[in-house]
Amino acid sequence: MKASTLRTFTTVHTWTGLLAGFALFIAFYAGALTMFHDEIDTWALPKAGLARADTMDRAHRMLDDIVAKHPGAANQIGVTYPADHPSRSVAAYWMDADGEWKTQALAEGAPRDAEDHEHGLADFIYELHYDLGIPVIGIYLMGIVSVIYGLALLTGVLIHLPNLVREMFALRPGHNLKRLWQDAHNVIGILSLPFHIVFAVTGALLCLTMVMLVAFNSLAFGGKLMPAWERMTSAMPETKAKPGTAIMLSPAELGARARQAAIAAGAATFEPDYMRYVHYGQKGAAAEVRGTSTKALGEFGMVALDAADGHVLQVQVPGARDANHATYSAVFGLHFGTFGSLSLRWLYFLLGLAGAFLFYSGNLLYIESRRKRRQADQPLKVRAMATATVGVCLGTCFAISCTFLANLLAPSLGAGPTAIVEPVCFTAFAAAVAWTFWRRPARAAVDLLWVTATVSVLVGVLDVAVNTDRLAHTLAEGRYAVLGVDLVAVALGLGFAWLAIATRRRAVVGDPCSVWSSRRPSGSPGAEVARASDGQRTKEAA
Amino acid sequence: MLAKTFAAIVLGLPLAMALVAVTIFLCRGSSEAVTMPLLVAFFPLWVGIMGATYLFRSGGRAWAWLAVANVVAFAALFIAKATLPGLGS
Repeated sequence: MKASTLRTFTTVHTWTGLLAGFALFIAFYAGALTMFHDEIDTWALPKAGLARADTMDRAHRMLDDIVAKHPGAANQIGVTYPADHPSRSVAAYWMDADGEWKTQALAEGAPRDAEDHEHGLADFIYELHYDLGIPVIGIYLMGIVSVIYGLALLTGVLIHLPNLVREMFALRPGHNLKRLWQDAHNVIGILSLPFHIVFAVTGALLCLTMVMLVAFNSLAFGGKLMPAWERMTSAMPETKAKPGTAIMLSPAELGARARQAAIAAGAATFEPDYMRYVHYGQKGAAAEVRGTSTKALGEFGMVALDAADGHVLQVQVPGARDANHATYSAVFGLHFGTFGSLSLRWLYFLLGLAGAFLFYSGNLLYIESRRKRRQADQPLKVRAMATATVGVCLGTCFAISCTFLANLLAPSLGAGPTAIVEPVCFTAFAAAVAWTFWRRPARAAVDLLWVTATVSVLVGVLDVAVNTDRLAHTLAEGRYAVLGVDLVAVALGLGFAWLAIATRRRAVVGDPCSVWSSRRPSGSPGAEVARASDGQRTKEAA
Repeated sequence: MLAKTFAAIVLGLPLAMALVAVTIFLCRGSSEAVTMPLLVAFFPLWVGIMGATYLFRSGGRAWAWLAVANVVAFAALFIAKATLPGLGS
């Protein structure tokens, strides 16, 4: 590769990293935690075991009731199965006459807007992951970030390509710290490259599918893509309601028949997860059961059945589906890491944290490459980058730990956990950014790391101390979700403490000609640095 | 540099879309069967085109070549729409 091409790609890599790095750090940190969404949900919002033997019979009666009260719902109404998640509530979803999605959970007496659902801790962190907590446009923003991320990956690999093999496992600790950071950035980037490619592609797809569909539909396919999309992603054939009423088979019965059909078609397992009726209560009604299968890249499969007599209309499950359904399902499977067992989720968790480190180290490399080596005062862009990196990245870690703590302490302060997670997170984040401006990045980084470490350890320790009964109760039942969240909180806290110690050492004894040195008193730069570098020179002379 | 970037975004996007759409049409008789995998290929293709745009010697050349590529790709799409069965087959 020509030197000028290499330089161009390096510039593109730098700028794409600058544009997307912060959003990606938040997405990866929150996304790593979201790998344990259900465990965090169990931890955050203790619920009585919802699944009972008659749950789905009660759900059937609720559907009858909803359709009787809201005739618009007969068009299409869905209901979730409790599956194996203790935290999962059974709820119906339908579109009312005004075109708005409504929902009603089994425990509720009246429908409500499907958008304003309960904002638990786990759901909130998941939302941070895909829209940074920005309503409406956040998800499109993250879609664009995913595209920029793709370009950063491509250029990063191209820049590193000439040295790829030679420096594959090189990690050179020693005098040149920038070299060490560069090595760490490269080795993590290359070793987790397949994982990053998966996220750049599936992340863009998941955020921008609707936009992409509308564009392709009008620009290239003359309106034929939308109806085809229905056929490519669901198993439900086109159905028409006929005059007359019909008695619907229950969700439990249809789920059992769907499982039977799926396994007969070659799926390893089939756990019904969600189902929907069209033309509920009318002749010609159909139902589609969505379920998850193990031993498949895309776990979701669908079986469509006649809702009145239960005969199978179409099967799209692992082992028996077309390329469209398999690909669509694989996009979700690859992004959410559902194609393996618990160990795969741990791998995704670790790779997610490593990804967050990749973006953080990218920013550090930007700072290090532009550092003035012979003066304490650093250029504005270096100081701004250091402030933003500490404020946004460490601020995110701090804010998320605070949100866990707030969720834990809220009930004893008389507040509902679901009401406070969002304000606590955003306030803590704003405070961390303000603190970084106030204290300058070198000191703020140490402060934020220490306080994040303390809060994280407190989350685990206080939960064990306050909710001892619940912990004992879940352990006795052989469920380890609560203990797992506590232990991971403490482990992450210890990790942050280690980073705090290292960062403090850097600030106190490291090269003073850097934004990461705290040796410069904020009032009079120069004087102390001169003394410090004098001291160094004396030492070197000796 | 900036001129190439805008060319990559503004002209690379429709070019990637047209290439994906033409490929779908060209799979005559099984267009709908390959649509999803090819739609998934859209974002990587766009990113690839963006990366390649930086290989042009100047911004002007990037705009010119990408414009020509777009005209060719959309002409092909226009002909394909008129002559091939497309989705639903």
